[in-house]
Amino acid sequence: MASTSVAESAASGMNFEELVETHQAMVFSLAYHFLHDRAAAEEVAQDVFLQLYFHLEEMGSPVHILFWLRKVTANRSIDEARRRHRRGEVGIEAAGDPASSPDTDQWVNLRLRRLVASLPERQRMAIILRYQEDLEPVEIAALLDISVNTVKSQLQRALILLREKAGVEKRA
Amino acid sequence: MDPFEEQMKKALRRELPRAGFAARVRRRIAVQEERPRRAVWPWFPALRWVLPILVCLVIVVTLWYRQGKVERARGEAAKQQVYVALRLAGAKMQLAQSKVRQF
Amino acid sequence: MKPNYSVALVVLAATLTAHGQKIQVPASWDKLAAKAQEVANVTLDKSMLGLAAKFMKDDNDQDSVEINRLLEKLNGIYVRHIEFKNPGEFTEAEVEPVRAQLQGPEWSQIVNVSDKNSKEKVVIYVRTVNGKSAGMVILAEEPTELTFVHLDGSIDLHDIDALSGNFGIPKDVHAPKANSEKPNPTGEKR
Repeated sequence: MASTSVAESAASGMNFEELVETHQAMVFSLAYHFLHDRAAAEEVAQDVFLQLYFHLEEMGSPVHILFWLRKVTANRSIDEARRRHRRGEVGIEAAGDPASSPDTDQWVNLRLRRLVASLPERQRMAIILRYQEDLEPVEIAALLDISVNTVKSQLQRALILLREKAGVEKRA
Repeated sequence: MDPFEEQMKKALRRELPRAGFAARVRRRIAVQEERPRRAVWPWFPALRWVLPILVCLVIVVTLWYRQGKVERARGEAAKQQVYVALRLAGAKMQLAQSKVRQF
Repeated sequence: MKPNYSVALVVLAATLTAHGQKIQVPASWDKLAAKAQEVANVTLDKSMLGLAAKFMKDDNDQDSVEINRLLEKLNGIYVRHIEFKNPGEFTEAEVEPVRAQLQGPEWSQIVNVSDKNSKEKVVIYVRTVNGKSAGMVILAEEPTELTFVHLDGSIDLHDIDALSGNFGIPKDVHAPKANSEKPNPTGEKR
């Protein structure tokens, strides 16, 4: 088996294993919240880290790696969604862990995730990057290669739509 | 952020993938590395253009050479035909001359 | 009504001599060639003569120089030469259509020799246009050979004299030897 621990980003000083450990949640979650399918999300996440491994020497600082991972994950997720849409595949949300006691919050979260997954692609990714990664519109614009105004407009529309579907009135 | 947005943050919080994710990534890397990688020459982009040009050049040179060969063959054949014609003409002229001398 | 071939031939001859450049060998010569032992066909127009001259320059000897000088004056060389195994394979009737084309005002006989003993006959015609030489035809009939040579162009007496000396053309460059490959149906020697 390949010794991936030896692979190291020269600039970041982090080895590949450490990078996987550090960023797997972020990468997986981005893909999962977008595709609403755990298996597909894991496939995308593995692809992203595979690509990272073979481009590790080109990586710079930890900030650059994080930006790169988010950008590649966003693009791959969008590509996967389009591919699945063409093939008529429908995302299947895995059932929650039966051992955990269901609570209202969990159901609300599940409902919101479903609503997010129903948004148009660009709005969906903007929302995920905003609320999962806590990114500002300017950061989202850089990741998605669109203007800040477009990001703001997408976020606004997405939130309106989500509130309507969730039956929530915006607080004045 | 309003409560809805706070709820959005909770709904979209990060989650870990299934246990053993790192190992699965390692396995895929191992599989990938076992496959012979295509030799990508650093100068491949240039080669993309050089090769078709070279092929065209070879075709042009071959056609030019063959055209030259064909012309040479035709020229040599024409030369031989000239010799045949002039020799026949000469022979018959001599025949005529010999008849005139006889008389 | 019996077709009037003689009229046709005269008309043809008149037409041809009016243009005067190429003497047509009758189709019957193809049939003669089919039963011949050896055949030589030469059809070289101006462009082919130019090509031949180009390659003759490479030889770079006096005879080639002489030949090239002649080729420069010519518009074409046309030869039909047929060798038979036995005498009597062709008749006057087959030669007459060619002679008929050489009866026009531009053509004159400069040599006409006929040996009844050996049954050999050679007639040499020259063509003159506006007082200048414009071509020469040699028509030779021998017991087992029939030869037509047309040198179309401004060939002069010097050239004719040089022709009788063969220009020093090597003896192995000649009309096909006996027992060489059988001619193809069109009679053209390759």
